Amino acid sequence: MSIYLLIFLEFSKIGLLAVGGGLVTIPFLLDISERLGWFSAEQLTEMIAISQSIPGPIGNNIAMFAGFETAGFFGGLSAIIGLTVPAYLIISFVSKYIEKYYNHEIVQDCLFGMRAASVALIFTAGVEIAKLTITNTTLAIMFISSFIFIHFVKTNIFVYIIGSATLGILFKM
Amino acid sequence: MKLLGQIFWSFFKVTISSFGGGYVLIPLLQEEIVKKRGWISDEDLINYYALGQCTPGIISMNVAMFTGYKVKGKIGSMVGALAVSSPCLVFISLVCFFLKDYMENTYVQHAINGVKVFMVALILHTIIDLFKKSVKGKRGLCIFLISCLMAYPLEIGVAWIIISSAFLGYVFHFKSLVERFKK
Repeated sequence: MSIYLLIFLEFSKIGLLAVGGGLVTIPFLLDISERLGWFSAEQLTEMIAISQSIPGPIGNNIAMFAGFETAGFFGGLSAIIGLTVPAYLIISFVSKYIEKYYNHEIVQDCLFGMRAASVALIFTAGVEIAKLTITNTTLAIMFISSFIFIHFVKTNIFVYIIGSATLGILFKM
Repeated sequence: MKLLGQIFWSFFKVTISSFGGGYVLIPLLQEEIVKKRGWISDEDLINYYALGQCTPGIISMNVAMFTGYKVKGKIGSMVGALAVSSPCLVFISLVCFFLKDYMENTYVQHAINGVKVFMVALILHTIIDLFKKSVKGKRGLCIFLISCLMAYPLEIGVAWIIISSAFLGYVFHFKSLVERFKK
């Protein structure tokens, strides 16, 4: 079997089983490295670190990276497609029914509960990310001043990104 | 066709300006998809985050596919997925071919750290906004607190938290209906 098809199948398995986002895929990738030896555990650690410093969803970056390390660009492409196809099929199915029954009272009640939980999960994830990111006083000052700026001054997001990158270099964050 | 192009461009833009994974995309999506394009409401966005966390796959991809579906059906959903995944094809290829050593450069790391701290501040700003919009009344607050408890000290899986909260949303409403009926 072609390596691309194998990569596609392995990653579609992850795409079907990993519920809860990008970081959930890591144990599956570790399993691939142990079972198939496409990449080593050390390589995986490096991939995770670099993926977090690249724009975009971490899970996508890691999958693309792993596929790339295994079989070049098209290996990465097969991994991404494999990861996406199961979610695509499930979401098409779910969306169709949600649209159909959106105004149904039970669906509305369930979504009400799910929204409250979703905000709670974003909150706890935010705290978790903050703990990992803000590790010294300079970063804490940067955090507080960024927050005040965003909350009261509305500008294009790109201005903020370039500004914070520049400050990061200037203050050696 | 124009609409599909807009879907692609919006999600592409949001993806390349986010550092640090799925949750960082929320404020950016709110700005681009809700406020600027007006394709979905804040409530929809949070619904999609909730659903995206209990359907398998990468959360931000799922949110993009739900939004795409709402705007333009199955093709819209596919374009959303394509837009979120295409930047990483480019970035990772660049890193693998040229930049692996460059990524460890201290200046690059300083710049990335600066942006990451900004992204955390952006998330905090958004959480305040979302809390006001999505956690309504005593019932909402109650579900919010239970979910926090399940997520943090108890470390229950994300999908289970969302599913049990859907159930709680139903039960709470049912209870208030019963009380109203008794009166």
